Amino acid sequence: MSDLPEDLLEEILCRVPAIPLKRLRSTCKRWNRLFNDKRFTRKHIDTAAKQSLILLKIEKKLRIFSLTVDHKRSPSIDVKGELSLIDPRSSLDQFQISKVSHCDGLLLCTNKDNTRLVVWNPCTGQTRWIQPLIHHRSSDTLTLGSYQDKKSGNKSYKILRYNKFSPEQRFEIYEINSGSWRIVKVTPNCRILYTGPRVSLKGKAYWFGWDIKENYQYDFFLVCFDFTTERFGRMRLPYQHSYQTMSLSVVREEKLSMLLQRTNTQWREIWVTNKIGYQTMSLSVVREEKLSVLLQRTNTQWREIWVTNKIGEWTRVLTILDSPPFYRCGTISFLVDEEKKVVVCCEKKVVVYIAGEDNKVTQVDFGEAATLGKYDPVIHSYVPSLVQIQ
Amino acid sequence: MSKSEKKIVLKSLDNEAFEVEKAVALQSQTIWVMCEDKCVGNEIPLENVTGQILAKVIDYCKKHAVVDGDGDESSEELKNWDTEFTKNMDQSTLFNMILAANYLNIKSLLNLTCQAVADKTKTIDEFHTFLNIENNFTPEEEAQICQENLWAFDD
Repeated sequence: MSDLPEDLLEEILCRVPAIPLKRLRSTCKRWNRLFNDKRFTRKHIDTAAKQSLILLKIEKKLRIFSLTVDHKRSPSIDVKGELSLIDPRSSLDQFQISKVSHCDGLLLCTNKDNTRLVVWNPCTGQTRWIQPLIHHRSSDTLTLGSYQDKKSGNKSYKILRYNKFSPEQRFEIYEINSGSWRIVKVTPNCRILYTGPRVSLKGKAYWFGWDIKENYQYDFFLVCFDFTTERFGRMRLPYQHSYQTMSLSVVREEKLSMLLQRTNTQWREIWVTNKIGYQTMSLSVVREEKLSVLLQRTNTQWREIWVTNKIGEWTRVLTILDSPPFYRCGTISFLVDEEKKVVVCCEKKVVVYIAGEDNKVTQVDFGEAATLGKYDPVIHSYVPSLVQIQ
Repeated sequence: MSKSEKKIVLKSLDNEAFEVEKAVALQSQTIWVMCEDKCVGNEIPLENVTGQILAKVIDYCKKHAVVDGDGDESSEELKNWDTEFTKNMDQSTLFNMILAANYLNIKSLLNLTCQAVADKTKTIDEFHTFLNIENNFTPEEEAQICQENLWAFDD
């Protein structure tokens, strides 16, 4: 066959997932050039199929797994390997990763004291080490996010920093393009569950937030920060829908839907009497596409996993019955494959939950590959990409 | 509009003539421009496409002319049809379909065929054969590139 013109070659290559495409890089100069072409790497992330892997942090190490689900057999969990990074400041040692935030295939890794920060694309090997400021603390939480740069029109990256002990809820931004830190002018108009989970998806960071209502009842929702406009917003959690599937609560559903037609005050009273609250909550991202929440109500044994659709409505993926009654919020991480109805939960150990055709949920251990250390392991749904840091 | 105006004849590289509905042929931006410019008569010569490939392109355009704009159910059906359409094409046919889709400027067909190649081509050797490319790195250069890429996992 003869040569394809350059633009057609690009049309094909931008549809090959990141990892196999990366292997092609070292085989041809023409292809290698494409990897340094920002326009191509951007087109690639927008076009190529999202290859979702499991990123598990155990004992300062990042391990990569893949999960294959065939409903006739038990799922196969394969170890792909370990991601390691050398800190150029201490060129002998492996960088000790304590916390990870990620978006678009880029990882933001920090060490225990938050004195070393790196944005890293493990698929291309590109790194960018970032200098924290003198007042930054080990209790800071850092989140990587994307935004649309007004000048260039390109997608670029920022890091959002906050400290849970900051009395004035001060947030700071680091722009990778300018290489400097600055203070965000606005604050969220509510409480944020700073110790809880947070995710970054399509230019926004999400946390759980809450207001205190009368009678000291909490009203939970999602708080988001838009990395482009640098403003905070809110998103509803799947409250009322969660009654629909529970046998016990059909009556309640009727009551609730009736009361929904009435005034807000009466609705709120129902919430109060029903003791609406969550003892376990977590957030996750599905294939860099959708947001997912895990909720376990106060005094219940079941956990529900919900995923948003295109217009931000929640759909329930599955319910795990007989869950442990109490875990501190933020100590559970999870990921979802909504099509296959699979949830991987990670608290003290990693467990895979699969809903069969009859919607009955079975439980499978993750296996020895995820043997856990003394620290709580954290699981992420990770999609490798060829995106450039700057 | 008379019957003859609704039809159009496409003539392939190897002089094979295909009479098709104008609505079918106009999915090609190239043919659309040719017709707009009135630089051709009722017969359009397509010098870069063989009859064998053109027949397949016309199949695709016929299917898409009928179903487009018919709502969700048909878009699902169309997707399945597209999958079947490229499923049994060999590499050489796909290669020529890409060139034809590009020349005729049918964006959706170009997307479909490029995706089919990306899905079907699994090994580096297959890519090299398909794209007629030889490894032009020296072993030193290759080692250097591999050094930069510490991600050593298979997919």
